[in-house]
Amino acid sequence: MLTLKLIGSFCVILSCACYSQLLNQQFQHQIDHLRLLYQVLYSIKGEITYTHAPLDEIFTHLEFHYTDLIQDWSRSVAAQIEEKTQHDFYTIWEQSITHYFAAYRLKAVHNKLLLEFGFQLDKADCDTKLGSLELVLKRFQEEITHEESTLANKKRLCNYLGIMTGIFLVILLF
Amino acid sequence: MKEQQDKKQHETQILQILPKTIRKIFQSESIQYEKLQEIRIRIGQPLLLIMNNEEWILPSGSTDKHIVSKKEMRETLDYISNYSLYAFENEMKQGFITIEGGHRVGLTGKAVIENNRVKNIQYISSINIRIAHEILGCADRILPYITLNKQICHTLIISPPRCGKTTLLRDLVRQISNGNEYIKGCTVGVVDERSELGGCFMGIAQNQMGIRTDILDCCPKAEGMIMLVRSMAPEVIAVDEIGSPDDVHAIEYVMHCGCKLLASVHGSSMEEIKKKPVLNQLILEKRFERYIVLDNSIGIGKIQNIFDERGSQIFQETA
Repeated sequence: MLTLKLIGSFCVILSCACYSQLLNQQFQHQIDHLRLLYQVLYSIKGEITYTHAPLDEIFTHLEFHYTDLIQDWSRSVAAQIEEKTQHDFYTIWEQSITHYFAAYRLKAVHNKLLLEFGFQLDKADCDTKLGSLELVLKRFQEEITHEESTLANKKRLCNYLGIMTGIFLVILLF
Repeated sequence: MKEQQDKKQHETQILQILPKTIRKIFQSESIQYEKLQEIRIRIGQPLLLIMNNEEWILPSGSTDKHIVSKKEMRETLDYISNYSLYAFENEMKQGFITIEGGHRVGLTGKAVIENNRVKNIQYISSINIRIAHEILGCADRILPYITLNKQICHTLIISPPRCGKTTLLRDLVRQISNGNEYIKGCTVGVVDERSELGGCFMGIAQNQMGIRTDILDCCPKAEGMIMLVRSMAPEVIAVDEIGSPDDVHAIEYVMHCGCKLLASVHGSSMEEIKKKPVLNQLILEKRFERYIVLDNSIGIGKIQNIFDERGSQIFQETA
């Protein structure tokens, strides 16, 4: 009986530790997604600055440079621009961000920054647009740096909490 | 079948750039898109269109006319530019944007000036959408008069505004490029300073310009002609609306290089052109071998006369 209890306790502690590892991975993925999005946004700004290409061209270009979700997203945005069904570009951007990037489980603050980028893209004047995009990108970069700097602490805390929760459950079960 | 598809595409291209509210009005009217010439949208003013040389105020059957709002203007601009007005800054400096299908959108509003030059237009208050129409085969009648031994002669088209000189020049380019019974198909370089000939959208000609045609879009004529000679080795160069001294120097250069030249100029007769100091020199030196004079008194695009280099009439329209 005692052996069985010991094996059970080990399993509880192990599963709690594994769950904490899973959470750690999610934190890491979140940062990877933010980095990817930053890269995409930077590409959009770069295309506007150097080629002055219209938005549908930019998104078609992105479609060929990325895979998976970003590819689907850019294809969808380019198609909606061509279709001309929305009153303004921001509506297209907002709908596509909500639809495609829900899978990334971004924090509210990161979502807000993404939407802000689309809002600035909708501006007509090129100089104002580029200046505003630069500011949004800067804030995005700061968010990534902040997330990266807190990642180690989050991971450590998650590990401790996982094992402690396991131990706590074992005590309750005994 | 193809004609119907083209008509449908033409209609879609026009409707797509209009705001949804105006699209509904258009769809409720019996509009003949192949005869549609202009759509005029002005903030705070009724919606006007010109069809078959007749002005219509929409909705045509109602006394309560549609007044264009600021929101509709913004929506139109978004659709015209694919939500990317910034990408058309250079075109807007000239006061127009060429869109898919070769249609031209003229814009007015508040001009933004930098170093005494127009940098951009903001607060756009009026839009004039000029519908592009190709008339394939309109140059059929004149080709026998401007070719010799299956080669094109240096030709100048003289025409007042709205007489179809650009349309005629475009069809000449197409036929020379493709080749036919009068002329062997040859490489044609087109300098399209105002995107009127090719109606280029994103650098691609929206009008049929022939299989051997290279177009330099939005490039100053004089510079463009020299660039084409150096880079594309054209046998024929076509330019629209010549007139400046720089153009004349470039024309002389092109002719000396062995290229044939097709050009058009604003004017109503040979006498008027001879009075223009810059062009008179070219006529005296007998640079052009053929002069085609257009006139709209007997209908748009009608040829009044064709003269040879000595000024002898070789064709005259009979009423």
